[in-house]
Amino acid sequence: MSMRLWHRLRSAWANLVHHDHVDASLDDELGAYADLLTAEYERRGYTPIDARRAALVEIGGVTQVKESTRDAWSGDAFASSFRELRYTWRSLRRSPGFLVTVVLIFALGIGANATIFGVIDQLLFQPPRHVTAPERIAMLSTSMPEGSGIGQQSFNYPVYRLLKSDLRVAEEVAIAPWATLDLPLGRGTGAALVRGLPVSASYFPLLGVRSERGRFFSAD
Amino acid sequence: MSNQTPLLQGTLDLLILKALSLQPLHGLGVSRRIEQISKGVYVVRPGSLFPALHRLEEQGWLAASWGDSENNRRAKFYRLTAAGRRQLNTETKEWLRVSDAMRAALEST
Repeated sequence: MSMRLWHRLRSAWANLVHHDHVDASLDDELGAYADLLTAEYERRGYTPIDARRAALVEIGGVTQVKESTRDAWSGDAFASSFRELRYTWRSLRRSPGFLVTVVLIFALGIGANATIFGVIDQLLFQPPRHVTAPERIAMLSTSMPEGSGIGQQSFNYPVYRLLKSDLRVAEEVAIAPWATLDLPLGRGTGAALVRGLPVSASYFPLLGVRSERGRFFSAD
Repeated sequence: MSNQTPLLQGTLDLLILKALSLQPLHGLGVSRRIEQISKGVYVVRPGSLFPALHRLEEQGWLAASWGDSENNRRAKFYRLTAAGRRQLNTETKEWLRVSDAMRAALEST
């Protein structure tokens, strides 16, 4: 068995590397067949020309014979896909406009994909960079037993106070609403609308966020 | 020519091995030898002969070398390898077993 595998590998190698040689050898082989067949017809009394014609008719299409013989070679599927590739490359080179269009479309497609992936990765899959220890932060929620699916993530203030006072729950507890608030900043006609989120004083220390200027508000 | 029969699947390889069991032959020689030993029932055309020869050579059952033919034309000669001879024995036994069974089945009353 291993002998046969070795044999196949060796001929696959020969077919791939010495492809032209193997191909020429097939030409010679079919040529010899045609010559010998012609000689046979001549011995039967045909004129040389008729003998040649009869031989070629008997062989059928030489190209078809070569095609189907090549199919029997190991590794020929690989060699012919290589030929296809070379052919494709040549025809692309012959029409540079088309080639440039194809390359541009590919570049645009790949670029757009990479950008969108980068954005989504930063927003959804990477922990936010300004938070010191994201893996230690959790959002608290309650749920009803038996997996009824009913639960809530909002708590009233007494519960918050209770959670905050018990160090077994967490090092720090902060509270923040779901919805943002639109607030006026400044006075009179110079006032601008800013979007804000009322949070407890513990919110920023909990996240480990440092203010860019000044300081955050404190609990009092 | 009317007594020719289409080859059954798988019989061509066996016929080629058998045709080469006596002496090395070139392509046309194999074709003529098969015609002779099958009493003219099987005539193998190049379109099926050469793919089969090359396949058998790849499988290591045949070995090929270039040599001079009867009228001094260089031709590729095929001969059985040791593995090819073993394959011929195995396949011959298998084929005889199958054909005996078929004959028995078809002649039963």
